[in-house]
Amino acid sequence: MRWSSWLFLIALLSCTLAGCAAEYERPALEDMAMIGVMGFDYVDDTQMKVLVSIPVPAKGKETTQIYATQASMTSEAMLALAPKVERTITLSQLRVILFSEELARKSGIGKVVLDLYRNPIVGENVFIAIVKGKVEDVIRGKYKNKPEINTYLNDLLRPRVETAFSSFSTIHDFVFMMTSNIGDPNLPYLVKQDGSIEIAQVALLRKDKMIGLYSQREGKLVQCLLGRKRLPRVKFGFGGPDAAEENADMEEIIFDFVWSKSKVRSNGNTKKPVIHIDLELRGVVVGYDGKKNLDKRPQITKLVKQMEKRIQSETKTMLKNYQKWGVDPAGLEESLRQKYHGKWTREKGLALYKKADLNIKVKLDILGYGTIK
Amino acid sequence: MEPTDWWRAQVFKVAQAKSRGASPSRGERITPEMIKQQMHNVDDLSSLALTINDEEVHVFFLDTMVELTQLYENVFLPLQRSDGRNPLTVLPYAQPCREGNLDLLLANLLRGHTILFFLERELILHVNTFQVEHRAITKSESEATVLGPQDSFVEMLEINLSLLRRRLTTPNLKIVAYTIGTETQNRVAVLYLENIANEINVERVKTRIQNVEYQGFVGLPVLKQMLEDKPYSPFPQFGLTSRPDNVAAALLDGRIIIMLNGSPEAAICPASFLEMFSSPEDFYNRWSTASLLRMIRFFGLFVTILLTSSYVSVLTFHPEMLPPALLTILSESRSQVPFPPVIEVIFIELVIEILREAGIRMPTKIGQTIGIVGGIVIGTASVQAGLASNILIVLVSVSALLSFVPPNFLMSNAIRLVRFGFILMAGMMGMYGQMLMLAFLFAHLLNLTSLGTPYMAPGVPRQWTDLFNGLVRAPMKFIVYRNRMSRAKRKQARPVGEE
Amino acid sequence: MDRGKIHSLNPIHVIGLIINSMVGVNLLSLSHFASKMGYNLWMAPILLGIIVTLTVFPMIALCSRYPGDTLFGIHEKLLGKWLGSCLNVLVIVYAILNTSTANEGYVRLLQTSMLNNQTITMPLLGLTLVMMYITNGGIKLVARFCLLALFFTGWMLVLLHYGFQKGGLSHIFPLFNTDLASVLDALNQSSGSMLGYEILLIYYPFIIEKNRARRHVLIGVWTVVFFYVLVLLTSVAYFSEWQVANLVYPILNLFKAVELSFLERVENLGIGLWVFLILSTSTAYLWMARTGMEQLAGKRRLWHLLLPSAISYFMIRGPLSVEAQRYLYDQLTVYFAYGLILWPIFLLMLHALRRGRGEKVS
Repeated sequence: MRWSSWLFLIALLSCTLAGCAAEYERPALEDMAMIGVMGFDYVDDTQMKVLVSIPVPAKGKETTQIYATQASMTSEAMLALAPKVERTITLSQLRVILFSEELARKSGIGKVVLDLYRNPIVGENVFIAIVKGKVEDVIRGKYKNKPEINTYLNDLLRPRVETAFSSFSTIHDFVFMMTSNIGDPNLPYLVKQDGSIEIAQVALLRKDKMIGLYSQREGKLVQCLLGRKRLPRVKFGFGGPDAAEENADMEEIIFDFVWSKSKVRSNGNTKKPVIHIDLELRGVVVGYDGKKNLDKRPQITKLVKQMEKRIQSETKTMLKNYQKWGVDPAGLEESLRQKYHGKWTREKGLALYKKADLNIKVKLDILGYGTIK
Repeated sequence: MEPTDWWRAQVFKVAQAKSRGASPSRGERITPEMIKQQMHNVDDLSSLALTINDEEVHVFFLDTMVELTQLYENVFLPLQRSDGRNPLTVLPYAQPCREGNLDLLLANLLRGHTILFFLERELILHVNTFQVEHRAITKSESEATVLGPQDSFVEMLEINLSLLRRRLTTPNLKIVAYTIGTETQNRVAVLYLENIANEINVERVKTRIQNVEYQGFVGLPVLKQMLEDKPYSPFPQFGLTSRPDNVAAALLDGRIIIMLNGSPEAAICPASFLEMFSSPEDFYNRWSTASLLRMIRFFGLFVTILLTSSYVSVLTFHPEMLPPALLTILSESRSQVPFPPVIEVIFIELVIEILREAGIRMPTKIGQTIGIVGGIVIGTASVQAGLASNILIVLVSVSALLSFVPPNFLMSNAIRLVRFGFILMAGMMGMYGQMLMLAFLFAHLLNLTSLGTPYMAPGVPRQWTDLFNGLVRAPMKFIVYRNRMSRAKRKQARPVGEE
Repeated sequence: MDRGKIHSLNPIHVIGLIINSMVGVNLLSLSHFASKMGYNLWMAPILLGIIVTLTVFPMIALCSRYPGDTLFGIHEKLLGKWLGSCLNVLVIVYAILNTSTANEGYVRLLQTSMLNNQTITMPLLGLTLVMMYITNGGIKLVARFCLLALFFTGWMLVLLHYGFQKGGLSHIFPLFNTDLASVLDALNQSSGSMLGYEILLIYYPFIIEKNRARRHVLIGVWTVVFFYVLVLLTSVAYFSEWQVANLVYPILNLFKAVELSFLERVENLGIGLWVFLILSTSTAYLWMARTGMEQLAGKRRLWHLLLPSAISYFMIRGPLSVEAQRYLYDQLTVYFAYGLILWPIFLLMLHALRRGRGEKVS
């Protein structure tokens, strides 16, 4: 045999023997305690309470182990938790990170997130969410007719059209939003009530500190502006008892956006910035309660006009408010940055954003209205 | 030159060499005693002294090589009816023995001829009465196909050659024969189409065969190993087939065929790695089906070497690669297994290998039982006993099945061997170990040659048209050129632009 | 018959060698190296490509004057036995340094990402052994391996679309928003990723179509530039400027984002497969070192291969501190490379002085 093959063979065999010895020490799948959910509660400005939830595999019914400790860093928490758990603790299957609202508001979540982002074991697709009240209540809570907490939270936060009003922030997305200098990050805001968890609202952050909340409806518009192609359904109501418009017919429409596109452009002028927003929406009427005959073209056109106007005004009001408060969840600053030569900073961006004029155009297409007139 | 004549001459030479010193000098008269003296202790020699038409005739033949009724009908009966005419006229196939050529006579006797001494006429005749029982031409067991010719080679070289002659009716089909093996005197035939095959390759095969020194070959695979470029590699470098249609197709592509008497196979050289994954049925099927099957076979290779080793590396080194649903299933099924994944996988893989080996040795009917016992009972029992996880059983079975997909038996054996290397490397270094092993494996394959031609062609194509008959089997319209690997004299397999 | 003319590289081999000896461990950190240019970093490979193209011309010009000689042979013929040998030792050192650079960078990455809490002894030993096995097969095996590596790793470009999905390409605006100082810094930092084509000086004599070699080399170089630009554009779309500047292995994070239904965290597979790219780089350099040793000794021996491999192994695994290694690989190697790339111009001038312009020496 050629010398190299011999050498390789000998090396392989010796490696194998060495490998076998080391093999017994290396924990296999069942010897690892794989953290699925990590939660962080506020204790004081330096310390936080770290909770981890570990699924225990068993035939039939799955159970969950929950451990808690106090630490100032994630890695420190891991260090403290390791002796408490009977298996080797690892972050390789980490899926969800939860922060309490208090922690997010008072000390910020950036340190924790970056600490985890540094760790190569932690994946990129770990979901981050903010919890109303204490994280401990959510993690230790009992949920009827739900899978165990790790699966439950992971499924809940997994991107679905129905919950697309928040940015499904994975750890990468959050770090991206936090460091991109073109907008304020948003995260899903979880509320525990009646034995289940709900993504109730959207939390708005400046850098890594929570500064406010906005509603699902606003979230949908924000997502549209951020460029999401598929948006969740929206309910539009026209008229109604307290409406003093010329068209007093009460109408309710549930509209499903099949496809949407937003173009955000700025004029590049630093003195008098203008942001042009073109929204193009296509969708299907899934629920309709009103007097219009949707089979008639003029009636449909009228409905489209109504809805375009409503979306336009709603967007405008929302963005104006954001401008007034000086927050930018919709990332409109990106359009300013694209035309800005020189060193871009968040301060410059916000200043430009606050004084920018908005020019919003909406184009809506109704592709279908179900199977009855 | 007719091959049989050639062998006769060869056998003669050898016989001469063997009996050097004992044989009488040329021109001396041969007597029956000389034959008896040379063939002492050869108890299957029948020596008869008969009187036919008042003439004393000594008859010698090996009763193991000659059938008696045939001898009687074809030799004795005509002689009895000859009424004293010259035996040469009544026995048209008989040949007179030249003066003093005892060695040739003995050689013919050993090849199944009957020797007749007409003492009064001073005439010695030998008649070819060779007839032995041989296996009938049957279906190929190892390379069965649904469509296409079903015949396969048998252990008789003459029959095998006739199977090929029937397919290639051309004087260009050259059959060059050699005798090798110092004790066995194996007849080896080298076949090629003179107008197509590359001369240098033909010369190379001939030289290699002439340089073989070994006491004897009991089967072609033994000879093949001595002729191959890199004998230490686990991979077969010549193709091996038992199907005449395969051989005919290879000949038409400009390949060279080596056949050995007593072996129901033919070696095809040069051969490429990719060809080990193609079956003659690829050309009997429609091109789309054939391409699909070829791709399944080839990707099966990767699956079979990477599947169980990935199980080891994922469970030991990279649990983060599992999606949540799979993780739940896997950790449940692993929760009771007391061994580390490497040991578990090697254990189950060895069980499968043992089952396979036992299945071959068992008589067919028991073999089936063993398959069921092994597959169901051992598998289920070991899962229930907690010795292995049920997912592993699935993976091992899939990879074991896939390892039998390559039509070439030697290749599928090589792959199964290589798989253990992957498992060990995975146990040591996880996914990196697997990929390193993959790099080593493919570097080794790239380093291999078959008759001096790169083994991995057309993986690294020598000409673009090779790709039409590589991983996919393109419609016949596209396969215009012979495979570049055979370096054929005439590159085109058929005229272009006829349609 | 393949054995007879084993030293012959056809055009595909040349292109494969060029591509895969250039793409190696440096691609993993390319966006990090070029991050000084901000979101304009995708232009760095194009600029580098132009520089490379300019330096290929004198290289080919020099080699075509000596169609039968490697750079080592040219040194001896042009500068005399003694001086030539001294320079050859330097070139060999350069080759070994580059081998180590590729191996070290990769093994460190393995240690951080896939095989954490393990020493690098075993992975490095395995890598070195396979590297030696391939190099022992000669430049043709190296070239074939390069082509194979291209097949095995090229498909990973498809995974880039996961990166594009998340972000928009709009980040590349505004164009040319950078200054000269950061461009130069980015070029200097990322120049390591373009190294590898200079091995051409050694394998030129083994090329079949010498008169078209320049074209094939340039095809290879610009294919690499195209790949790099694709990867960098994806980083631009996927990362914020902060991330590009602070993530050491952005490709690792790109891989991590990929989620298949049956497999997550594809980075383990991707980084594992990267061994093909590493091997194709390091074997080419190791072969360069071996050829140099043969030229020095005047004969072909096994230890000419063993010695450089052993040196490279013990440079990484041996007593050198990590800082010293970083200096060797990141600084010394690159400056060495600048010298080697510009060296043919000097040799050409010397050749013109001694032998007259354009004259061929066989």
